[in-house]
Amino acid sequence: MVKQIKATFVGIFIIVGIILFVLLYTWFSGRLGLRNTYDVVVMFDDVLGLRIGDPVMVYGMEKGKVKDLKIDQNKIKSVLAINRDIVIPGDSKISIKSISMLGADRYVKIVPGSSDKTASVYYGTGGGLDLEGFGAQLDSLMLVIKNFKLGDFDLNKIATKLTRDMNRNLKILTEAVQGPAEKIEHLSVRLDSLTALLSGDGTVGKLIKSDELYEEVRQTNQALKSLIEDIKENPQKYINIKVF
Amino acid sequence: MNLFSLIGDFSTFFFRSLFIPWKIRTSKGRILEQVYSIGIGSLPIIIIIAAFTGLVSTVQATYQMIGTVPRYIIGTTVGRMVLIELGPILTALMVSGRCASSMAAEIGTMRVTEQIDALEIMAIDPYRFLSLPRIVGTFISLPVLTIFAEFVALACGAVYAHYFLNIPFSVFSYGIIHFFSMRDFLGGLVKSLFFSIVIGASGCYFGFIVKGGAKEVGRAATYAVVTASILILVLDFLVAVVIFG
Repeated sequence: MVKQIKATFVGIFIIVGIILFVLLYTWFSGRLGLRNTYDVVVMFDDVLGLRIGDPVMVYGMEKGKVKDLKIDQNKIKSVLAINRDIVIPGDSKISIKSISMLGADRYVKIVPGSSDKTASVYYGTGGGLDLEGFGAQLDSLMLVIKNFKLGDFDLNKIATKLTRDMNRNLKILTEAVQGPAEKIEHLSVRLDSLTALLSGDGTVGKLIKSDELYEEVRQTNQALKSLIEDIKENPQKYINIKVF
Repeated sequence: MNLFSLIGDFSTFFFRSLFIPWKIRTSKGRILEQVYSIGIGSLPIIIIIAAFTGLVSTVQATYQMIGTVPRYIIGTTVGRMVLIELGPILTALMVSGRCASSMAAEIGTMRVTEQIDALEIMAIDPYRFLSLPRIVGTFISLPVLTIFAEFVALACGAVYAHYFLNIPFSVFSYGIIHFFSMRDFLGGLVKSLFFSIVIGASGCYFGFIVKGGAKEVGRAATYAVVTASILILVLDFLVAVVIFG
């Protein structure tokens, strides 16, 4: 009987140990907070060191976790566990950002779109600050520059020649432009004075602007016309040619 | 007895105890007895030790780090420290102090009072009858005790951080989760398996080699604990090099 009780205690002890093991594992691997969520599949070209359990931010607020990551046909298929109260529209922008400049802290950033429909598979970009990639690109750039120097043509020499040529051309151009420029300046000054003359109160100005003058000229013209007609009809009235 | 002959003798004893025909049906009751006395018997002290380990490491980590790093790093520090080192090591040291000494004293007394000789006369293998159940019992109990200790330490640390250090539970937990790797967790448990073998074997060995009277029995208990403690730390280093190195 005593042995039976002891065996029971030992059984309870070991079972509780196993339960605690499972509990600790679920806690540490971040699976404890994954209730009340649904899965969203996002394909990335590059996840930049994203890990399972990293947060998913919607408008900067933590609304889920990365549940699973695996390689699927040259892409990374990631499963995000998103809270049920969030709907991700089909045209949402999904990218991977880093929390800090240093270290591998990444998170998935979701900016929800305006579409009414959701998508079955989303496509994300591996944005964020990719220092390593940047470094690699810088390295290759340095290599290219080095090759320029080592090759047949020297980049420095070309640049010097180009600058010299450009300076010479610029000088010639400046000289060519100098003469006409002065003339144009004179012209412009004269044009200015002419404008002033025309618009001012001087004789020419009045001549141009005055309606009175126009009217008088018209009347005179008419009178002249009738006079000419009269002359044509009765030439004797005006013209008396007397010989002797 | 010089160091080399001690190591040789110890190894012989170890293989003699484990690599024998296991009669599970007849040994089962004795293994159960040992799991009860080592596992459940050590549980209260392990829980107390673990609780204060968690509290102290949280307080110290906060004292050292707060203001210089994000607060979730406290969770990371305490979590990894407990999982990798403090949980397995402190549990193993406590169990070695509590159980290796009692094993050595028990078996030593049996040796002094010629009970082991009596077993041999009855054609009962004393290694199978006495040392196998103890080693296997420790092997079963210690990882379970380690899990208990880790859980209690982390829970106490998290609760203390939440209520007294202004580090919310979710932040503490985030620190643990974010930098968690399975290797830390399983590495700690693998360590405790090695420790359990060392504890059981040294406790039984120093009991078996007692010659003389009561004074020698006491000395055997001391040797058992000292040897187990030293071997635990040496093994800790070796396992750390292999798993985390």
